[in-house]
Amino acid sequence: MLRVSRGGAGLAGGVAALLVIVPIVLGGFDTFVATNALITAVAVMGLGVVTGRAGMISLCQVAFMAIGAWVLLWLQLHVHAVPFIVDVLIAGLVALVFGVLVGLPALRLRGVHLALMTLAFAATVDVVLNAVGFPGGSVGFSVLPPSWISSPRDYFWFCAVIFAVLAIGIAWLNRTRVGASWSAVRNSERGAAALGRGVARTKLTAFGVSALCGGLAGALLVGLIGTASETSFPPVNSLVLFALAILVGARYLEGALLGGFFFAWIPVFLSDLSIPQDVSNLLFAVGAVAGLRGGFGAAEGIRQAVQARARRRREKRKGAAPARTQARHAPRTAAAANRGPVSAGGHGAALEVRELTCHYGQVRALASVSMTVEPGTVAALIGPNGAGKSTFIDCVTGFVRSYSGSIMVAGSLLDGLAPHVRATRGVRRTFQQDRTVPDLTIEEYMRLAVGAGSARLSPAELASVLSFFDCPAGDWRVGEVDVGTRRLIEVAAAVAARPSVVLLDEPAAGLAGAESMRLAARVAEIPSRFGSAVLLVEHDMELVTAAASHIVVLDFGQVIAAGPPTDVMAHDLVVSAYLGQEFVA
Amino acid sequence: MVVVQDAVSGLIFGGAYALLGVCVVVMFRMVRVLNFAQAAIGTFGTYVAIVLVDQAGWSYGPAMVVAALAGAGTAALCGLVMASWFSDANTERRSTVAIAMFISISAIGLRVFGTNPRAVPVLLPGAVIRIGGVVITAAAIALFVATVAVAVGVWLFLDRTRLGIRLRAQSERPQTAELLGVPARWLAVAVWAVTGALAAVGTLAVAPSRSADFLSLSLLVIPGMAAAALGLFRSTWLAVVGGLLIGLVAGMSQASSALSPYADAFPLVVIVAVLIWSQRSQVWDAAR
Repeated sequence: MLRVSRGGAGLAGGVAALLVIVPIVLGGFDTFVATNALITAVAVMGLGVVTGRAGMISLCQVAFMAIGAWVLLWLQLHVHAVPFIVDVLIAGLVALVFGVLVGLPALRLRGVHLALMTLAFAATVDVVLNAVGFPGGSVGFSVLPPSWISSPRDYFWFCAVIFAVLAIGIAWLNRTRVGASWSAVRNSERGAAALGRGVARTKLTAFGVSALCGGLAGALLVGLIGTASETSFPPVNSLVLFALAILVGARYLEGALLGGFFFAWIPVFLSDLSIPQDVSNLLFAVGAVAGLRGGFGAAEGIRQAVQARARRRREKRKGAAPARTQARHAPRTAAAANRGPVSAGGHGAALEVRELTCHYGQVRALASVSMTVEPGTVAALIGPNGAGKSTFIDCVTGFVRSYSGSIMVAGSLLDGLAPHVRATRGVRRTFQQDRTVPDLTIEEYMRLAVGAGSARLSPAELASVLSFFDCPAGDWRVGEVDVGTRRLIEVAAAVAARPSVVLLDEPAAGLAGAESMRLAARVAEIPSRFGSAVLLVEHDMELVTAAASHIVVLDFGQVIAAGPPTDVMAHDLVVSAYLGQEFVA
Repeated sequence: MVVVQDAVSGLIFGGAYALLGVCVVVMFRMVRVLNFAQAAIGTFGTYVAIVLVDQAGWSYGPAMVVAALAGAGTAALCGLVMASWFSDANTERRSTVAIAMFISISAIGLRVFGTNPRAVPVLLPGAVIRIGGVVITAAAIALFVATVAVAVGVWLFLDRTRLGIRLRAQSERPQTAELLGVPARWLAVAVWAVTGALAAVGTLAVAPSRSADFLSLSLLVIPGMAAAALGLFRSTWLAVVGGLLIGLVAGMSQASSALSPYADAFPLVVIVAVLIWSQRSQVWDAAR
């Protein structure tokens, strides 16, 4: 199911019409250049996924093109029974395999390290192809597309169909959790894992899709030109395509098309003006520097301006408040909602931790901590700085796995599982830092967190969750709202997934006093409304006593007190841990 | 003995890789950029020298000095762009700008100097030293000595002088330095200029042994970065050792006709192995 906005449909229609008309209007040579542009656009679109969307610098797109070209030539030379289009697809798939292989190091390498690795890969592919040569190169072998696409015009349309299929496929992926995960991983890997998305899989799919596009582009280019040589795919062109992808904003359809258009046509324009063709690379590089100064990409800037204007107009019509929707829930008093368990979960404790011990080197962060959070309740974990509260959350959610002891959520053991697996098994968390995904709309972010299938969030549910937490409407981009609201969105997304237990790490940090009390009322209502037990880590004692029915106090990694708020707050050890020995009467 | 000869003939490459590696390390530590344009900057200087010798009939020495100046000038220009527009950007974005600079410099280089192959001057042609049947060119020895001297100089300056330590401190916090009245911007440009000059000397020395076209000389940045990676982008010493090692392996692979076409693929192996080993515990993108 692909929901398309009016603007998106208009754009897609316009592009489709353009692709149909172009070869009818243009002459022979111009159709050749246009086909070249379209093929380059396919490659740039791949960069738009891996770099534009997932934020990983890839400097080897032309190497994937070379691999695709090599495979197509080999198949055409040695395997005769298979149709051309199947050969093209196989070429793309082989490149995809290489893409996943190149993506594997990206599970540890990031930023400039990854950039260097991909550039070295590009140079190595060039070295190998120079040594091996392209199939049929020595005998002057030339690929001839089958008769139904042998005319330049038909071949353009053939490439246009492949471009369209890829564009639709990527647009579809972008709207699924796969695409949203690309943005999430770009923003924060921990944040993505906490939403139940595997970082490894996300990175590898991005590299795979990108390489698939590259491989298909290389194969199509051979179909256009007929042959390929050692000089057809210089590694420097990988850098040029990368610069171009930044310049145009390759993650968008129009950006990719613009990239292909620039790459193929600017050299032709320049030579018409009797300016040397290689000046075009200089233009791309200078354009990329300008793009880097002002953010990323021409297409992005245009889109955001258009979207912002459209929304302003919409808001004006509706007369809605620009920031948050008005709270529809009268704040309830204290923790009235959660005194006494609510029937939820039903497998014993929502969270049961036994004898949890964790060391960082010589430092013992947690020493044999045991605690239970009953279903339908809000518990709080408090303690001075360095007491081990965040380590506790990291252990329970799997971000730290070198612990001893056992962690059980709703009756099933989580030990040894990766964070994203734990997230899908019923334990969610929020972070002290803002780890929401500014690229996504609030709705996309919520859907990424909640998941697909039976868990899927209905529009009514989405609206109700958002208004419960006083969040803006779902079509706002997360990056457009203030940081305090983003923290609420993070909490909303965590509970909307209806986990057995949700761990909130200082949700009130940065909120004003009144807002923080409103949050307390909301947190207290989470168990009855969403069926999730809550473990609240917080310094704001007012919030803690207002929301929680059970408090556990940590100091130097050990539980020093546990019980109802009034008992715990009066406990000598707690007072001394917080205020020092001399305050204890 | 043949293997030893081949290994030694890789020394000239090793010297150039080591020099570029030292430049990459210094740039990474001092101005927070993985300078993909390092060899391209050097190549620009190299081509100036080639033209001076080839067309204007200059002798090698003065041409090399002008090459170094041209490299320094090109680099200073890049550094000025970086310091003016991207001083607050993170390493990733600054390095992306360096990629754009690579493309710009090679485009300009191809335009100015053309694509026709040129006669590349050789330092001390014919001068060789024989040690037990192994022939070493004087140029290789000169480059080797120069590289070690540079590495020692950089190390002494950065780790043993007051100014060097202050420079290092300021490179971590350029804005704080500006607030303290230190001309951080001009110091950064100076670092660019010095590494630009060194890169020019390195690429000029190795140019006669490579196919001297602008792009392939510019791509010497890859083995240079492999050398820097062996120094974990921190140690100039290890970068020198790494560069020489990569050069020696490349030289030795010449002995095998099966391996020699793949000699230039060796840096990838080094880069992947070193980076993955050094980053093996970086499971997450942020510490917490």
